[in-house]
Amino acid sequence: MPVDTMKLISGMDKLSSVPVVYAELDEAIRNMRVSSSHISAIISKDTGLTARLLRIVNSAFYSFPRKIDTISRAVIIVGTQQLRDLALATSIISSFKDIPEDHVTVESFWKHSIACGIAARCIAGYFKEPNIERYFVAGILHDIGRIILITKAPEAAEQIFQASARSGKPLFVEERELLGYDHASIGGELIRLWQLPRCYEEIIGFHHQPKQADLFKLETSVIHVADAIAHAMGLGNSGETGVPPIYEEAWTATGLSIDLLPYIMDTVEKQYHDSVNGFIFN
Amino acid sequence: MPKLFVEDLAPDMVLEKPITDQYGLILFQQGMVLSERTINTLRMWGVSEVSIETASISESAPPATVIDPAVIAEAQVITEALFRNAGTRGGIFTRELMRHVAHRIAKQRTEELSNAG
Repeated sequence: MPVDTMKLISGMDKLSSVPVVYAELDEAIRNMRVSSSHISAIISKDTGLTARLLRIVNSAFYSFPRKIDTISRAVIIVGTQQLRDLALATSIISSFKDIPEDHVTVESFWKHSIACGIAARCIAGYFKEPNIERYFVAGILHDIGRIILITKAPEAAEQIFQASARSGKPLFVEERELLGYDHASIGGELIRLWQLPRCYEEIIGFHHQPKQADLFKLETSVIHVADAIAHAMGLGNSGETGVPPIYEEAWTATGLSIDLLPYIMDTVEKQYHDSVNGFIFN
Repeated sequence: MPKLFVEDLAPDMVLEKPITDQYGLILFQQGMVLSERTINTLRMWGVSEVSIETASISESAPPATVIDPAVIAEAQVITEALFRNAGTRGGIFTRELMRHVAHRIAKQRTEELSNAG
């Protein structure tokens, strides 16, 4: 029962307001003359988004000594690009709330994505990446194709879950077997439809085969490693019951010492509990 | 012959067995008295559990968590199952991730058991 990828994501552009806020903020940021008050005006139009962003910037994500109580302060302290990316991350989570929950709940799905995003963000912090929030966004988005599969092609998804339970193979392997493509490539297509930056398309599309990434090999490798850490720590559940195949080269690509791994895991644990309780499901 | 987590070690505890790295090279001799500095070194080498002489534990504060070998074995079985599709065990990232995960599971289980009892 092959289903066409384009058919799966058709209508997703109209259905979602996700790219709209991002595009508006992105355009404002690209326009160099724009002031921080203009940026905060765009964000403040959406009261839900404003509240979520303030919770994030006051969480263990940043551990600022003082409370940030307005968006205009957050723009100054956190940065415009960072705030734009955090806005994207929380908008995605809050716009996918209704999925059939036979094999995975919405909450556990997003918990896994958040854990992956936090791990990626933490790893990126170690190599002095100026904007680590885009890694958080990539983590949030990495399995988005699975949500689409479950929502738009529930019968195929059911077959895939059953086949994986029988064979013990990872879901993405069974997806390729049945459909000829996997949740990663569905996610990549959606990113393209949404016209988000090219890096996300590549990271999400190749997060199970970081070797195939071209322009964004480092970013893709980081998400691959972060996904493994999130699965290994058992934080959330994307439907997959174990750690997917690991490409060691992805860790090597980060250039980090393996001694950092326990520190990364400690940070993930701490920020994960603070974020899922604090700003995600509130 | 209790095994302790590195984070539960305290100065003046005495090593019951020599500590070796993954290639069998001896890092610290049996009978060595631990100090803050040697505990830090153990941490940096990624050693997670250490055998300590029982007598030296009771004399040192704070009271440490003792891990039951059965709990360690159970944690290793759970970790193996979790990583069944992960592929190569030879790579340093996979190996270290598994080791830390097993350690976390064992620690959590030990805490659960001590809270229950």
